[in-house]
Amino acid sequence: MKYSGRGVSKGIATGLVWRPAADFSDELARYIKESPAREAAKVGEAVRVLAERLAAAAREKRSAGKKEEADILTAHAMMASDKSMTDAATRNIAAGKVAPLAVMDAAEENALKLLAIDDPYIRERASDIRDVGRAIARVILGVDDSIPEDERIIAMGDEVSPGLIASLPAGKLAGLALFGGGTGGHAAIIAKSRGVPIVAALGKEAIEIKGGTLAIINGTDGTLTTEPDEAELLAARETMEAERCQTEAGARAKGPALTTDGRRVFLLANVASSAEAKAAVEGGAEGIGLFRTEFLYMGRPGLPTEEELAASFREAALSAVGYPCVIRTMDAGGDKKIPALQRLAGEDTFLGKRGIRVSFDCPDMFRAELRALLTASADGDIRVMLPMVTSVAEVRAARRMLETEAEEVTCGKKSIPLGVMIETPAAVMISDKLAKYADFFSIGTNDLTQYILAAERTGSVMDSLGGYFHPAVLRAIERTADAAKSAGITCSVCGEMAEDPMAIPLLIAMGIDTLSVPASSLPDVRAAVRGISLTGAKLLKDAALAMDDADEVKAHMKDALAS
Amino acid sequence: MKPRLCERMIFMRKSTLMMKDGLHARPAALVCRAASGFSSRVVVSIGDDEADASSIISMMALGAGAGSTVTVTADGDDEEEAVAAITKILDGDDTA
Repeated sequence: MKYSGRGVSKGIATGLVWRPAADFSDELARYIKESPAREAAKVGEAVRVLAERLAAAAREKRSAGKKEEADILTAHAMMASDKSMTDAATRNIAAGKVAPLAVMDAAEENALKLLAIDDPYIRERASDIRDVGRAIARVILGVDDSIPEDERIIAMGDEVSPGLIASLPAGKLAGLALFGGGTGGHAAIIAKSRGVPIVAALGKEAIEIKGGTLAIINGTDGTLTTEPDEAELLAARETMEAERCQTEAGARAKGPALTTDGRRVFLLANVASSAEAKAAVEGGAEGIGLFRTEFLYMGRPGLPTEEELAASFREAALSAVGYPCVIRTMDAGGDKKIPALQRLAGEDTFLGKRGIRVSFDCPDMFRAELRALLTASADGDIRVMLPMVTSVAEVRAARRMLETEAEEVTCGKKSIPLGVMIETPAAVMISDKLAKYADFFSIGTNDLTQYILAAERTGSVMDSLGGYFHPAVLRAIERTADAAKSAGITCSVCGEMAEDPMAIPLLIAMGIDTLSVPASSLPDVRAAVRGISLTGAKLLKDAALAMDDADEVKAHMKDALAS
Repeated sequence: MKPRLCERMIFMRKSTLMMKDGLHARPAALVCRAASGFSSRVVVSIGDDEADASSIISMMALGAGAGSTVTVTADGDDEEEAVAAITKILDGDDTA
C-alpha cells in the first residue's frame, strides 16, 4: 500500500518499520500503583537513570565530533531533570496519578507553556519535552521498544524521539516517517545529518502500519510504500544504486588530484566569464588557470571601460574564493577579432598583430586593463598573464607598465604576479631568459603546436603530423618545464593537451604540476591523474621523447594506459 | 498577587541587557548549566515574566526573542559572579 506525505529530506531507501511505543496503554493497565511517596521516588529514580543515559550518549556524540547531536541530547538531559518537570510530576502524584502518567502529564503541561510562545523554534521544542516525558515513563514502566535486528529500519511515529534516533547505530536508520507535519523537529535534524530520506505528514491512515513491516521510503516524492512487490523493490534498488553512483561521482569531482605515489597536481579551470569561474570553482576547480579576457571586448562596438573590466575581474577573483585567478591580458588577433580594433584589420593575423603585440599597439587600452587588474586584486589572488610573448623586451616593458600603473591605482595590491604564456617557438627557445623576468609560465599547447608544426590548428596537415604528440612539441614542453624548474617558478599547461588522459602522464613526468582545463573536463582529468604513478609516467615520458614520430608516441601511450 | 521572586531578594546583583539572538534551547542549556553551578538563586526576567535560570524549560518559556531586553538578578554568596557569568552567556558569548 502506498501512503502520500511530504518529502522533507530527499533519497530513497528500504527498511523494516520501527514504531517506538507511542502510548503505553498495555503497560499502564498492568501497572500497580504504590504510595505517593513511592511513586514520587520512582519518578526521581527514572529521571536520574534517563539523564545519565542521555548525558552518556551526548558525551559519545561529542567525542565523535557530532556537536549538534550532542547539544540536543544535553538539552534533553536537562529537560528530564528540570524542576518544572519534577515539581509538576510530584503535584500530579499528590493528586492521585500513577508515576508514569504523572510525568507524561507534567511534560504535557510544560510543552503547552512553550506552545504559547510566539517563536516557531521554541514551539518546536514542545515535542522534545513530550519525548522526554515519555522517555521517563518508559524507564518507569520498563518498556523496551525493540528494534528489528539485522535489517535497516524506518523509524515511524507521530513524533519520533530524537534521543531514540540518535541512539541508533550508524547505518541502522534507513529513513524517518512522520504522521504529523512538523519539519524542524530534532529527530528530523538528526535524521537529516545522517543523510536518510524523511517523509512527513503521512496522515492518520499510516498510523495502522505495524512495526516490522517492510517498506520503501521515498523522500524525493514524499511517499511510503508498505509491503512492496518485486517490481517496486527492484525499481527502488535501481534508484538507490543510481543515487549512490551520483554521490560517488560527486566525490570524484572534488578533492586533491594525487598520483598513486603521491604527486599533487593542481587542477584549475579555463573560463571566459566570471559566471563560468564561479561554476568551475563550485565544481571542484582549485582556481582559475586561464581567464580569457578577449570575450569582454568581443560582440560590442566600443572598448569596455576600466571600471567594467575591474568589475568583471573582481567578480572572477571573488568566484575563485582565495584560489589563484590567472587573467590573461587581451589576446586579440588570429581568429579572435575585436570590432573596436578595426584599424588593425588585415594585420591581426595568426602571424601578425596578436596578443601582447596588439596591447603594445594600443597602450591606453593596455594600461586600462592593467589598472583594472590591479584594482580587482584587492578582492582576490589575481595574477596577470601575457599572451604571444616572443621576446624578453616584451615582458620587461609590460612589467614596467604594470609597476607604473600600480603607483597610480589607489586600491588593490601594489604588486601582482606577472606570468608569461609559452605559445611560440621563440618563447620556448628563450624560456631560460624569460624565466628570469616572469613569475610563472603557462604553456598554451594549442598555439604552441600550430606554430611549432607550422600547421593550422585543425585540418589534415595537423592530423597527419599528430598534434601535440609530435616529439618536437613534447621536447618544447620539456625544455620550458626545465627552464621553469631551474628558475624556481611554476609551469602550468592550459591547452587541450592538459585534458587528454593520454598526454597527462607525459606532462606530469616533465614536472608540470598545474593543469588548467575546461570545468567540464575536471572529473576526467582528476581521474586520469589519480590513475597513474609519477614513476611510471617518467618511464613513459623518457621512452616517448626518444621516439621518431607522433604515431609511435600515441601507440606507446595507448598501449601503456590500456594495460 | 504573589510577590515577585526578585523582590524577595534583599541583597542582590542585577544587570540588564539586550538579547542579540533568541533564547533558544542551546543558549538556554548554557545558562541552565552555568546557573546550576552557583549557590545563588539566579532569575532571568523580561518585564514581569520571570524564570528560574537553572530550569531550561522556564528559560525557553520566557520566549525571549532577538532584541528583547532581559534582566539577570542573583541573590546569594556568589551573586556577583553569577550575574556576570549569566549576562555573558545571554550576550552571546559562547566561551563563558
